[in-house]
Amino acid sequence: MTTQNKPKIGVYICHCGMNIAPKVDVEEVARYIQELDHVTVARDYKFMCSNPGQDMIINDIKELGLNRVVVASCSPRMHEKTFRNAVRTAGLNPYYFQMANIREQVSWVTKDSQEATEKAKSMVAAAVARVFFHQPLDTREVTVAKSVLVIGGGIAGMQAALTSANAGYQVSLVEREPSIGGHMAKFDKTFPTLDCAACIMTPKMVDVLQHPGITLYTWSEVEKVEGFIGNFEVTVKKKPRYVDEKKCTGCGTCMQKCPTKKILSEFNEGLSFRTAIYTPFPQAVPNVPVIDATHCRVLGQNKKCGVCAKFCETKAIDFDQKPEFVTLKIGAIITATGFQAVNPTSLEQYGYGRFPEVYTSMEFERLNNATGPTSGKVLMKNGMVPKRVAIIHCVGSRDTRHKKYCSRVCCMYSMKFAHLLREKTGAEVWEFYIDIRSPGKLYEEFYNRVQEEGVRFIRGRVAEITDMVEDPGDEGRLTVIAESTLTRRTVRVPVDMVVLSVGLEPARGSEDIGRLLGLSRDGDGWFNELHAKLAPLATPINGIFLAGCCQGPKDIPDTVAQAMGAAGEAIALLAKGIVTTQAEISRIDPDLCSGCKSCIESCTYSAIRFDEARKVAVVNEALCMGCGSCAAACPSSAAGVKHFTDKQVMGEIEALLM
Amino acid sequence: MKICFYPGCSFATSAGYKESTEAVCRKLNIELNEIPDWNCCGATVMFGENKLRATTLAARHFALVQTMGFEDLVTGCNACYATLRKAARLLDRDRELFQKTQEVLHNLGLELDRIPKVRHLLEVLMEAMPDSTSDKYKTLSVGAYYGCQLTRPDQELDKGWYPEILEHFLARIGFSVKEHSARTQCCGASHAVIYKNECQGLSHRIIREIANKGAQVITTVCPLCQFNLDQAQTQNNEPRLPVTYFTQLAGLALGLAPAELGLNKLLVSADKVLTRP
Repeated sequence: MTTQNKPKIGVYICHCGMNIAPKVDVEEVARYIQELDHVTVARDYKFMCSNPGQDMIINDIKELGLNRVVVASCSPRMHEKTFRNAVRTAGLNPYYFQMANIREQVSWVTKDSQEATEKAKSMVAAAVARVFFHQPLDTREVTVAKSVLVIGGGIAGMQAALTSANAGYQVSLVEREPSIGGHMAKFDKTFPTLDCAACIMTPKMVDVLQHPGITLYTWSEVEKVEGFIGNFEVTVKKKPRYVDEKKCTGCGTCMQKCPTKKILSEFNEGLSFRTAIYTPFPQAVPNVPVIDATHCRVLGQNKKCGVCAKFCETKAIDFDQKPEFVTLKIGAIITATGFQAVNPTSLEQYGYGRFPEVYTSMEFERLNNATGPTSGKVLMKNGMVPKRVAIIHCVGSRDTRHKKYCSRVCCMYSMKFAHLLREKTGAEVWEFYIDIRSPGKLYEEFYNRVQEEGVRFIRGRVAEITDMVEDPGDEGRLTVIAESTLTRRTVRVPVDMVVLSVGLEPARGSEDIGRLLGLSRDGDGWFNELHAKLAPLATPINGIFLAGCCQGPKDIPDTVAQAMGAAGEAIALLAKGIVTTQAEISRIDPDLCSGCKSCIESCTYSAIRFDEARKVAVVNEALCMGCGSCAAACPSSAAGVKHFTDKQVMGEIEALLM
Repeated sequence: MKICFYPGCSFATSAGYKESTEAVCRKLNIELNEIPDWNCCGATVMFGENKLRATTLAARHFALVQTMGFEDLVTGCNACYATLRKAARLLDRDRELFQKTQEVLHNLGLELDRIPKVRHLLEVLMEAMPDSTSDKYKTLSVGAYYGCQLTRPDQELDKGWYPEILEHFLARIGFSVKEHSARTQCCGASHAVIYKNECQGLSHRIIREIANKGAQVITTVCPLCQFNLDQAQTQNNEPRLPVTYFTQLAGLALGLAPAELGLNKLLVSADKVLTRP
């Protein structure tokens, strides 16, 4: 090592306000580190990430001629970028920097102060030993495809697509159902303003369809995602519709003529029937039917039928349609896969599936909807108007046996139901709740309003819903049994109809989407955001963002805001036009490579190819994510990851063990 | 088939449970090996008193089962079933409690190394009973009553609130089944002895519900349930439904005579419904 390259290390110990300093004796750590070899300066400071903190590093590099920097503070996930930038600003290669995490790994978890101080010393010393071996690394800049993929065509996906497309980017919106619209298309009114959902929703659906910047793939699924930020290569599978989208005029004759009429309608939550060739609802976008291959007489049962084809004037029916695969070049991905309502069957005490007059909230939405099975009249299965209705909150939510979390929207939609029931039927409405959660603009006011409308609120989780008759008044009704915790009495309320306000859970298939995209999910199955507070729309995978309920339960206003935000993130990325690739990637030494191809098999990113001429493995730097699988698999130590060399890692470990 | 049988304290004196169980098992070639010198399981009260004593009362049988060379223990009483399973679960999870229990048993001259599987007689007959080939009882509608301890809180045998195993059993052996909503409602259990008046209502609501749903006979899987539901009707005129054991109905399905099954011991006579043309 020449004299000018001789390591001169600056070490900075952060107090992190009250997070590190009271537990770790930061001054003592600085004193100890100052004495280590190659350490030119060791300082402690209240907030290293603040402007003065960063300036301190920059000035020391310039004035003391530092050529290596260590900051001991929080997790690298939080501030590694910040400090690398500071080092770069001072004219040093940003990889001449190492971070020691003495907050999450020391002060937050170690009880004894002295022990914490000793631990911090050894972790900072390890960082010093490591940074000694650091080498300058270069990042490269790659151009970005100016296009966005949105997965999911509910209100979140639609809004994200519209915002991105309005900014001038090419958007591909993929929806697995025959129509966009998602859950919101099933709602009648929305809380707390009682806007008609269809009135605010259907124009947006048409906007999506007609927007020149949006390509709509309905009845389609994302099949494969390869590549990296700015340069994803996405394969979309268009499932066979058996109807030619270009020829179909949406006249609906095929649906009228289809003889298979007794299929439970998914859109109406099984409360009405549909035909085998169908659009989920009259306002579907696109207004092109699909054939349900399982129930179709021709496709599913090998029978002669083809009535739809006979009546179709434009000859749009095509029973021979096969799946089509489309490959897209994508710059950024917005995941908006949404939620599904919890199925309450396993909560046997509520008798869902056993008692015909016990409904889920989604069923009630349809029952209440002008385009629903009863044209918006709230009727029981016997055609009568209910005189008394119970609404049970937190079904499947806030329950350690089911979902631990609060589903956030149930209190408000329950009260919306109560209002609509009072207005439409005049029925007596009893709400059984644990706590009323109405934190939102005009939400508490809505709570007050429905109370004034005469809705009864009983604070207590319902124990049981039964058809047992204990009183003449129970005959032919359901009895709700609960403890009223405010009056400390058990209440038995005979009712005609029960609505179970079921909670939200991640949409079916979100596990598969997570696997395709490399997204992690939390214990409840929701996608993890990069940072709960400061990066709620980003994910640990660069270039992939989250919108709507796939990240956690949300109401419509929050979903729309988040969708616009996610689009904003995507736009910000694409507008810049370039992304910087990471420098910590694999390198395979051609002199050591024996050509065994173990690394090629181990690479999940398909980033290594085999050079037949030289008989060695070669890394594609644009695709490599630096995971290190190849380094572990390589039997001849030819593969290694830059910034994680044996010298660097062993140096760090040795110092830790000292 | 040989099974290791734990009768519990109400088995022998109940209205035909012993007779019918023995007759059915004879017919099906099931050898009932009664645990010698068995004691009270501790019932539900003991766990509230003293955990070690409670587990010891149960574990003494586990040790005896081991001595007899059996893997499973079978009981026909819901309270025994629930209590023994609870003890087994505690011993399985709590190493220290297990060791202490072992010591107590050791001083009694018994060794406990492994915990047997506790099964209900219903499970055994579910497997052993042949499918019905006769229409004789097709028109006899039965309301199955499980009681509160068989499936709750431990739901291994069936769903907790709305079990269906007994209905499946009855349908398979040739009875018609009436669905109802009282299947796991409490009958008053042992409180019915001390607080007779208070508990009458609990039993009546069960009987009323089963009658309302159109059943002619009730069947139970537990001596205390049978007793409570049967005796509650002695002071009450309407409705009157015979309360049988599932083993008695199994015996009828196998063609055994009512007298052989102890059906004459029921307080509400079953003669009328069973001897209909």
